[in-house]
Amino acid sequence: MPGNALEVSDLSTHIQLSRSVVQAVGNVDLSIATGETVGLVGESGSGKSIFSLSVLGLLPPGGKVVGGSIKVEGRELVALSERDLRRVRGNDVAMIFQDSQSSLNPTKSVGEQVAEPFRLHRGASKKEALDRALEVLELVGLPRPQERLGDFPHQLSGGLRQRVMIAIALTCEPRVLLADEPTTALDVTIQAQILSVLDELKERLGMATLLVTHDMGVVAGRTERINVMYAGRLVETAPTDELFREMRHPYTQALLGSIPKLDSDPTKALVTIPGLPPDLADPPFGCRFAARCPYATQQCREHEPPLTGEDPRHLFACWHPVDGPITKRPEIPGLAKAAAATPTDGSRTGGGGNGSVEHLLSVQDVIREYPVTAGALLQRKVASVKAVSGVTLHLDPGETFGLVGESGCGKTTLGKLIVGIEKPDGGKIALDGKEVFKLRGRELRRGRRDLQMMFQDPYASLDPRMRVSAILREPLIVQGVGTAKDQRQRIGKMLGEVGLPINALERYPHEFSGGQRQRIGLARALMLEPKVIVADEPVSALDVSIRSQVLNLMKRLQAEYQLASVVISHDLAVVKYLADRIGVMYLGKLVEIGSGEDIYRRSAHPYTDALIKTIPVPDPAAEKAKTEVGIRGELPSPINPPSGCRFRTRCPRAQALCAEEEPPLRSFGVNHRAACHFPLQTPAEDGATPVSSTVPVADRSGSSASDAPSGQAGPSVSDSPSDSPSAA
Amino acid sequence: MTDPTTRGVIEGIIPGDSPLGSPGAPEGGEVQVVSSGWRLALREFSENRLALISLLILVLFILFSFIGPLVYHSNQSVTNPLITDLAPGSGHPLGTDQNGFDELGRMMLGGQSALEIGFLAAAIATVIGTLYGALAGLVGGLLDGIMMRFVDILLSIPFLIAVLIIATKYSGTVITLSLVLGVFSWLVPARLVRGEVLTLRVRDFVLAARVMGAGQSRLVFRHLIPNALSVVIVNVTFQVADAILALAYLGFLGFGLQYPATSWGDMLGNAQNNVASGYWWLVYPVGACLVLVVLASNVIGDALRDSLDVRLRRR
Repeated sequence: MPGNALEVSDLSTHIQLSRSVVQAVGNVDLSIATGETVGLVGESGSGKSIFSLSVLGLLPPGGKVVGGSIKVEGRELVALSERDLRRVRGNDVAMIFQDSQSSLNPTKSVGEQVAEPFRLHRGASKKEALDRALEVLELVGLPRPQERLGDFPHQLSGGLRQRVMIAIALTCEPRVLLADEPTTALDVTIQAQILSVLDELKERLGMATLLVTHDMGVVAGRTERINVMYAGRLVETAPTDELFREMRHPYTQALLGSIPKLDSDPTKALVTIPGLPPDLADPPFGCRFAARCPYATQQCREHEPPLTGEDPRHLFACWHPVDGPITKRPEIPGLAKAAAATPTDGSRTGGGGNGSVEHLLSVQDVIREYPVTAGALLQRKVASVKAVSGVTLHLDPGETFGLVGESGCGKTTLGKLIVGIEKPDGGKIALDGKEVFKLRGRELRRGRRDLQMMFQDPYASLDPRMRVSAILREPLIVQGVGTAKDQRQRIGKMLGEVGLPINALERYPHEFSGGQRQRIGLARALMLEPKVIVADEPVSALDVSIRSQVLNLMKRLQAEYQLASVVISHDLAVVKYLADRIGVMYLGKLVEIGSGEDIYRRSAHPYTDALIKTIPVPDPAAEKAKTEVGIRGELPSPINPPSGCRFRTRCPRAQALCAEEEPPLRSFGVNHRAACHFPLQTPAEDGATPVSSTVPVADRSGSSASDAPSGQAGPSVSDSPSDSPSAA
Repeated sequence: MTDPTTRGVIEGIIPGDSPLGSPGAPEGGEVQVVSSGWRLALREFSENRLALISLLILVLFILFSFIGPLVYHSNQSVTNPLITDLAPGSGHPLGTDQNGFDELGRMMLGGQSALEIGFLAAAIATVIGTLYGALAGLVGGLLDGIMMRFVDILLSIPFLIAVLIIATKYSGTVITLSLVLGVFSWLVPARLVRGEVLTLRVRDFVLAARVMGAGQSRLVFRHLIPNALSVVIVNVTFQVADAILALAYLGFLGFGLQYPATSWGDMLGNAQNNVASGYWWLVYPVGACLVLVVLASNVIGDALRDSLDVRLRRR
């Protein structure tokens, strides 16, 4: 089509490994008109990154474009010599990468790096180039660019570095901008800022942009068309609205159904795509999605479907297309059973008749600070990083507590404190009333049995030298549980519970995929049948289609085993799906705590509100309706947090009082508390409630029913939190 | 709107029902069989031509030194002043030395000592160094500081001088020389292992072991050392090379093995005089052996490091 800024047809890229050829991209067509933003969506291994690298000829060693054509404004790029290609890179076509830390040269100043393309392509002098650099840095919204010209990348925060990367890409006013996961490594609030920068630039400069990402929420509001890739093939392409409303390919349907959303029903399971993406060194015959597709027939396994569609703007590659999103989600097995088993008469509060509530896990005023030392020989402590500053929360049996916040808020540290990897500098942590980590020796070891952890990084959390059977057996051996035969039986059973085949026992961790390793990690945490499990970012490192598998698994196990767990994540939707109660943290403090519905529909703290408004949702209409930019500014340093309310530097409602006095946690409803002087909701009548008062146990069946207004609660919960609950 | 058959979707969430081996594939997906880590490393290693040649050379020298004397008999104990310093000729492929001993036979004997001491010293150094380094790395804090300062102090003592002084006090036998060399060579492995352990101990799998109640000894022996093993193995080959060289220095300076035992270094020491006299067969063959063995060890060490690192990084 004439007039397209980027026109790719039938592109195929292969990567030659030592013994095999990976067919990374196969016969992909894609075009972007001038001024259009097109999304390219897919999980890792789908070929989307290789696709964008192919356009620029920046393939990894062994990579080669083996077919097709790439035209930028009519000019063919595929057969171009390296010299000519260099003239195109950075000049007509520019690229932004995911990780700004490793994509910027740490030894060159920001100004130099932004000026570099201008010097290379326009032959400008150093002064001219620096002037241009200043211009571009202003364009991307870098605060005080004149001062930043001499700064080095490590002196800037993640969001600022990403702006610098965008500036580098824009210096020579390219026609086409390829953005490869530009915001994946950033916090939600910074992500919103960067995406709005990209939006503005699109308006002003009219570039054609390719937005490559795995996050459907990010593409929902910002693209005109979306292309979905799976296993190197393009499986669907459609205008954004149509894709979300009336997708035709089963993969797209399942992908969109597997993403937990803030307004989805947590009692229903997420749609999952079983299995794993195929190995592209040996791709299957026929449709590459057939092995995981619920509608696959023999035809699908034998013949690969072409890209077709009645409407030339909406094409899909499927023999049995679907008609739109999944409407009915299945129930979670075991959830109904769990709800029935929940006692509604307060008998769960333990310590029967004395009126005081004993929680399973009680965290009170916990403080953790890391010293910052200076001086070469004698290290003196000059400051401290205030990771956790006085957090109080509690957990009851069978309950899931979600801890949400951005990076640097202290949630991971709090998780480590609960499990005993770190010792608190103040406050206490008690399990069943006993402070486990003050014990020593054998008692400490016995106490550790009840608090286990599931780690974030599937690649680092399993010992690469141990087979799975040894990994799963280790907790039992360390704690001296059961005979050898017993242990073998339990391992086998647990493996089945988490959905892995029995032959996995003999394998080493490197033979598993990320999702499978998380299952092993979960199985290991459950081997000792702990009372409390802390799951630290359980699905963040996983692909989108695998996340829902692990989330469903966790939900099912929670329901079946009545686990008490703490789920830590930066993703509010994940936490809302898994947790009964949610705590929002900011810079070491708990700013709001409440049920999922409370947080989502009636959030009282401005930070929570902003978080909810900034999270990209996979719904184009909702995304377009968002008008606010979100939270301005950068996260303050935890070494020197703001006085009074720590959020005041970025809060739209901040006033003088906020700097002087730290807001206490006030009650806004049953078990809903927030710490703010000028909250968004009216506090409950009896005003400020001291934090460590006896708070009634949340009735789980009450909170899992959607939209139950706070007044209408089960018999064990009273309206005014300062009353002690009536004992059973 | 067609709803999907819920079967396909639900199968994803009820794995517990299906006993392992039932028709539905386990929800987590099949596990692709990749060859075990060591086999992968072996394959990488075997693709390195130079490394294979070096391995062959090493093996040949071991055979030469230990099996050789069984095949090629020569007089190594009784001096024979009549046939001293003979050039290579009939009966003596490499001539004879100043005592009348057959040179080729001497080289085999020398090789035995050199290799024995080399490997033994390397073993001693590695064992001591690994334990010391692992402990320091795990314990951290003040004790780690003290332990490492101790290592620093020892490192600042010139290696050869220290070894020489100690060697003069003890009779030169294989065991004592191995001990002497080993005791002064454990410093480098200690540092290496400590570095690895420092990296490893903050890894999630070590934290997981702590969370489940594992004690220090379990952490060290079951988790830290096995994972630091690749570094240790690479270092062992370099240690062997260094020990053989150090032995050569000692021998050259006259503090090597006691006569009639000999090592390549001793032979070279005696041969200093022989260069001037033109008795090349007493100098160059021995020198060549030394160079080849040390070179081979170093090349193997390099290749091992490459193949093991790649495997560790491979996901």
